[in-house]
Formats: sequence, C-alpha cells, structure tokens
Amino acid sequence: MSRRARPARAPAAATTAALALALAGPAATRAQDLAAAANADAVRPAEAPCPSGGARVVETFANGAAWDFCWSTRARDGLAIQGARWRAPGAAAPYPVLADGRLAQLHVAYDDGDVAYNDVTQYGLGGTWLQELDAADCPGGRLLAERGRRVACVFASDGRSSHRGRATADAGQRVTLFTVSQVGAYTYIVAWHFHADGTLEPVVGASGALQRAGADPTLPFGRTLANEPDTLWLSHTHAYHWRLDLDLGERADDDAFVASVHERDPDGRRRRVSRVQAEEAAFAPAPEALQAWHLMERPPAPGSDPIGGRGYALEASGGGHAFVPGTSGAEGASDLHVTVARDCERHASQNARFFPGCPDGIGAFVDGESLAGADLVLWKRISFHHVPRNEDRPRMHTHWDGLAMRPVNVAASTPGLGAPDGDVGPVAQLAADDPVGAGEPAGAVITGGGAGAPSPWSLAALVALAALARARARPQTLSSSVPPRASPAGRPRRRS
Amino acid sequence: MSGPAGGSSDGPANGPVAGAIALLAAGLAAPAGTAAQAPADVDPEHRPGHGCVAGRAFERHFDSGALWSGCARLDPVHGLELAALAYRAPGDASRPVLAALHPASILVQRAGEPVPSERLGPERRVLAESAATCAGEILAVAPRGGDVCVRRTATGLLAKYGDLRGVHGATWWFESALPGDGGEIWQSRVGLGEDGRIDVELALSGAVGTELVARAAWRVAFALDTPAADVVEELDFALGPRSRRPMRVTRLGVESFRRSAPERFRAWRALDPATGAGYLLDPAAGVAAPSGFGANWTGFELAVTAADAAERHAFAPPTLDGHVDGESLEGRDPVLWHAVARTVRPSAEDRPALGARALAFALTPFDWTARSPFETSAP
Repeated sequence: MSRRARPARAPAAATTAALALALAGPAATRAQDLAAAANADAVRPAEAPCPSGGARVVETFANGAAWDFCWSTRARDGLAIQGARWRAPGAAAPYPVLADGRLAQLHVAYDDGDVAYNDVTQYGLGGTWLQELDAADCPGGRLLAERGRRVACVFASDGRSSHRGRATADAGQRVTLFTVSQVGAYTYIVAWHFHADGTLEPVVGASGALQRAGADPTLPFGRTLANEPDTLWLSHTHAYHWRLDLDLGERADDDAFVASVHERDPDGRRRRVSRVQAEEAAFAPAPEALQAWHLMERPPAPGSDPIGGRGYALEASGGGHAFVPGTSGAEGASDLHVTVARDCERHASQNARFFPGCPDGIGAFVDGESLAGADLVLWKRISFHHVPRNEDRPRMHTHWDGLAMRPVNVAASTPGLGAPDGDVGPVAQLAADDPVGAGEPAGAVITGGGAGAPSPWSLAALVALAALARARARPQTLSSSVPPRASPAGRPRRRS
Repeated sequence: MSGPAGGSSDGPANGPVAGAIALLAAGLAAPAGTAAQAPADVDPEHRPGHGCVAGRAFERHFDSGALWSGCARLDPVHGLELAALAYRAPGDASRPVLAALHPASILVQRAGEPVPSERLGPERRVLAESAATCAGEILAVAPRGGDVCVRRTATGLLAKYGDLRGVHGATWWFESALPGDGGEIWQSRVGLGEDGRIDVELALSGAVGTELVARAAWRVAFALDTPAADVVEELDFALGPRSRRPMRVTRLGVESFRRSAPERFRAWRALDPATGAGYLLDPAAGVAAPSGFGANWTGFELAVTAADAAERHAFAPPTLDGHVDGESLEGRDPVLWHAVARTVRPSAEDRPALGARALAFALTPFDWTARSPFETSAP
C-alpha cells in the first residue's frame, strides 16, 4: 500500500493537442464572443500533458478568464477530470486547481431496507455502461470521442448572474462537459461546470426510470402512482460521493484544509472560528454552526487568518439530506472526509474489492494520519432522497445535485469586472473594513470579522474601473435550441 | 416556440394574455368547494377577477409546448413578486400553481453586529434594468414603474434514458434587484422551468466589505389546480430497524412553525385535495437556517399560515410570530414561509463586486400530471 505523497507537479509541457471548443448554430453569438476573446488573448494556458490518455479541453471566456482541463473515462468511475487549471482575467499564468476529480461511489439505498446498490463498484459508470451520444444530445456543443466512441459533450452557456452592480452585471458564462451512464434503469448524467469566475461545479443528474417496485401497495416505503394502483414504487436515496484531489498552486503536498464554524457570543455576535485541520477527519452536517470548508494553497502564517490566503472554498450546497447507510456503506453520518491521498483508496465503499489489502471505505480511510506535508483528498457526499411521483413514469425528469468550489483570493479582483458604476459609495466602508484579523490572537485558530482581500481599493482605481466597465460590451445570451423529441427505440440494460 | 429572444408575450391584464389570466381567475373563483367558504379577508390575490393589477401579465413558452403564465409585479417593500402563476405541461391544460411568490424578509448580520438588520422595507426601490444589466428582455412594470429582467437559460438534459435521444430543457428567469445597505445589491430571481419546477433565489452581490450571515425568507402562497383549498403535508422518513425508512405523512391542520429535519429527510408537500396535484418543497436544496437571529420566527425554516391579505412580510409588525397564531388551515389556501441561510465571506474576487451568493430553494411538481409529459412510451 502506497503511503507516499505525490511529488510536486512537473513543469507544464506544451505538446498536447488541445481540443479548442467550437460552437455552432444557436451559439454563434457566443462563439463570436469567445473567438474574439481568444484572438485578443496572447497568453493561453500552457497545455500540460494529460495523464492516462486523456484529452485536454481549453476554453477561453469573454471576460478573459480561461479553464483548461483533461477528461477521460474509467471503467468504474466513469468521467474523470484531471489537471484542471483556471486562469483569472489578466493573470499571467493558469492556476492549478484540481489534480483529479471523479465519482468515487454512487450509493443507492431503498427505503424498504432490502437492497442497497454501490453502482460504481458493483456495475461501473464507464466502459459499456457509458452511452454513446449523438448531436441531438449535445445541441450547440461539441461531441468528444474516446476510443472511437462519442461519449462526451462539451458546451458553453450562460449560468446565473455571477455578479450584479447598480448598472452592470455579468450573465455568468460557463462551459460544461458531461457524459451519460446507464446503470440499471437509472441514467446518470455526470457533468462538470467550469465557470468563468473560477468556480468549479461537479454535478450529477439522475434521469432514466424508476428501478424497484413492490407488490404490496400498503407498505410505507414508497408510493403508488397514477394508473398503477397495485404497484408500490419504492423511495430511495442516491448518495453521490466525489473524490476531489485538489492540488492548489504548484505543489501537491503543501495544501491546508481549514474547517470553520460560526459561534455566537452571549451578546449575539457571531464569530467565525477557523481551524487548520491537523489530522484526517470526517465532518457531519451541522447547519446550526454554519459550517464552511476551505482548502488553502499553503498553511497560514502564524497569527494570520487561516483562510486569508489563496485557496478554494467548498460550498455546502445541496447537503441537506443526511444519510445513514444501512447494509452496505461504511461512510456513517459524515458527508465530508479529508484524507491523505492514497493510490489504493479510490472508492468510498467496497474499495477492497479492487484494492485488496486496503481499507474498504472512507470511514476506514480516516485513521488519524497527519495532513501536514501531505497530498490531501476531499471526499464529498451529496444525497438526494427520491420519493416517486407520477412524473417519474414512464421516465423521469432529471434531478440535479452537486457542489461548488469557489476561488478565494486567486484573482486580484472580480473576474471580468471593473467597478460597477454607482457602487463607489461604499469605498470608505471597504477600506475601513479591510484590515483582516487585526488584533486577532496568534495561533491556528482565528475568529473572523473582516474581509479577506489583501488590499483596499482606492477611489481613483474604482473610478477608472467603472469607466472600463461602462465601455465593456454587454454579455450576450446563449440559448440552446430544443431538439425534436425522440421516439423511444431501445431498452436499457437491466441489473442482473 | 421559444428561441433566444422569442417564446414570450406580455401585456396588461386586458391585453393579449387576458384569456389566460381570465382562465386563471376563473380557476380561483371557487364556484364550489371549500374555497367558496373562504373568509372575507382572504388575500386579494386569490379573489376572482383580480387579474394582473399593478403588474405586467406574461406568458413564456417552451418548444415542448410547456407554458408559464402569470403576473410580474414590483412591490415597494419586497421588490419582485410573481402572482397568479399558472403552468401548462406539454399536452396539458394551463392550471394555477401559485397565488403569489415574493421575498418576505432578508436578515443580515454582519460580523461584529450583535443583532441582524432587515433589508426589506419601504425605503428600497428596485434598480433600473438596462442592456448592461439584463442579458435578456426588460419588462417595464406599470404603474409604479421599474423593470424586471427576463431571460432564458438552457438547463441541460431534462430527461435521458439509455441510448434514446435526450430531452433538453430550459428555464425562464425573472429577475430584479433591490439595493441593500451600503453597496449591497439583492437580486430576486425566480426560475420557471420547462418541467414545472420553480427555482427561487435571493442572491447577494454588489459591494460587500465584511463577513456576514444572511437569512432570507420567501412567502409562497399556493393556489393549486382547482378552486378547492389546498392542504400541506409534512413528509418524514425516520431511519428505523433494518435500515428501513417508513414514510409518515402528517397533514398540518393549524398555523404552525416547522423545522427541517435532515436526518428524517423531511420535506413538505402542498396539494390540491380534489385532484392530488401538488408541489414539493424539499429543504435539501438549500442550507438550513440557523437560530439566533433574535425573534422566535427566525428560528424556523418553515411557517405555515392561512392566506391573509394583511400578512405579507415576516418582519413588519405584526411579524410572522403574529401571523402564526393557531388559526385553522381548514378551507383556506396555505402560505408557506420558507427560510434559508448562508455565510458570506468576501475575498479578492469579490472586489469591487461580490460574486453572487445565492440563498435558494426549489418547488418541484409532485403528481402535477398523471405521467411524465415529456415521454409518451413505456420503457
């Protein structure tokens, strides 16, 4: 069992053929935007080689930001994203963010307690489970092939607004890469959104059809649906486990994981308490504490705010369903684990099936080892409790679940924005609030209160940026055309 | 037919969509059933013929044949309000969903402040929209004035099954912005999805210089399907022996406060008892609201009240604590007051403008149609 941390990342080479994203049809306006941005962009991210035969995608956004990343598929894990780097607008070099990200388990437990599936290790999301896509699956985007099969789609779109000023706004561009895996009756759309503002968002869409039903409609473990009075479609929980090897900056072995909670003083004031995590740990949801998690590029200097440097914040979105497994899982009530990277610790459960001699699940991966000087891996679980409804028959609408990782102090300013004109009023307030952690006690624990940005904005700078913002062309809307509905022509594979 | 700039029609209540609004009004007229027994103080948005007073009627179409219609208003206290919302699934008739949907409170507690402060109030005025702020259409809302930005986004694969061709979906977003304290800007966003889903968000942006905790509450006034008064159920799935999670359904009979219970997968469902058509509010999509914001009502993620015209905001006296006074919900359309919370810590990327931080949840159709309106063949 390997117990060594990964070596520092090698210098990037510029030899890999890049898959430049080309948009067509309804996305022409966006394509023109992106092309214009690319042409004006003298500094493209260095194109590092992709590991394990993956292919690189390079995407430059209208705001000047860029993402580049490698994608590939694995027999069990399905889609894997590797070597993802974000270059902030105006930055000289891309910032390494994600060394390796993939689903580490997809656990499905039925409310009757009779069956629980581990879809990644019992079946797999890749290989023959991976669906070949056609142009209709990828409107306005580009199909990507692997080993001669077109199994991925990449497309650009507007997301939700990334920021809003009094007189300016950004529509929030992003590029999405997705694959589709059919496991039993379920269809999983495994997607990664790469946002122009540096946010990285892995999501899973559950579509397909309901898998299990019972013959006794009086049991309280599901529902009878319209026109099927004798069938009890069973409620169940999908627990998605992502294995996220975030290697921020140039080294893989110097990141620091920081857990924050918010405490209330007797007078009602809330204080953020941030701690650098020293050992491998598991975290259960505690909404009352307003938890926050950060991975920082390097450990904080003594006495400084642990999340005052460069890093990425893990947004606790979609984590409302605690999941306590029954028959098959070892993950317990925790939905976030932090461990030292191990080559043989790949699956959140049933790991030993494929890595004999290694622990069988993430509960056992956390064994008190020090995180100092180690390559860290975050294991994030998001659960979705699916209560069947009429709309799920014969096939269901996609239910999306995921998480977001947002850059912290990686860019020098709001990506792609000068100053929202009309927003210069709070300058004095910003400046006054800026001292970070002033007077805070030394040590690994800091109670927060101020902003984390390192330098205040001067009025002159804001005015100048406001002029730039006014001169900037407004963002364009991309809308994909909706294709004609398909005639059902096949049946999915069934679990044996 | 919806395209990047198409798929819409707007007008005053008596304009091109008067038919749809009239239909909706007729649906709310309660010619029979329990709604006919509603007391005289029922929210005027429920009254027949209310139409789109002080607002802008709209219709938004999708290629699948789905349609959302309703009334966009700008309220001097809470900004964006969508009223008389009706959804037509492909192949279905247009049926009422919500009487009203709007923010009911935005509490912000900055670091170092002992008590939170409310951001909604009569002194706020929605910000104007322009080509620089709205990557879509701008709806001018009469008679008070102000703008609502409407834009369409692709939502990816709406449904996919095996190697069958995927079905792609879209969402129409209605957005407006309210100034908060200092340079804060609060964007109200309501996404009306092709499959009937309603996404609800309050997103903080603008100039924000300090760490803060925000708690946002929305008022969701149901008027589902037929004129029969809707009911609210609480769904619990507590883990029992043998890893079983039996479903327990509790009908909420009186006005009350409720907390989320993630360990029980708690969710709430509003439904029309006459048809069973409903919507699900699953708090899993949002971040639970912590206690400690002061008043009793701030300690709960959900309150259920009977529709009442005088009860529109959580913070203004009488507060939500006063609204929840044990009244029976029998024969009254319910109003859900749902709150979510989050922390915001600005970083360098948030200067000069904070990257939008959303407080969000979703309402999902639940037995709204007898089967998926997007598929026609059994698997």
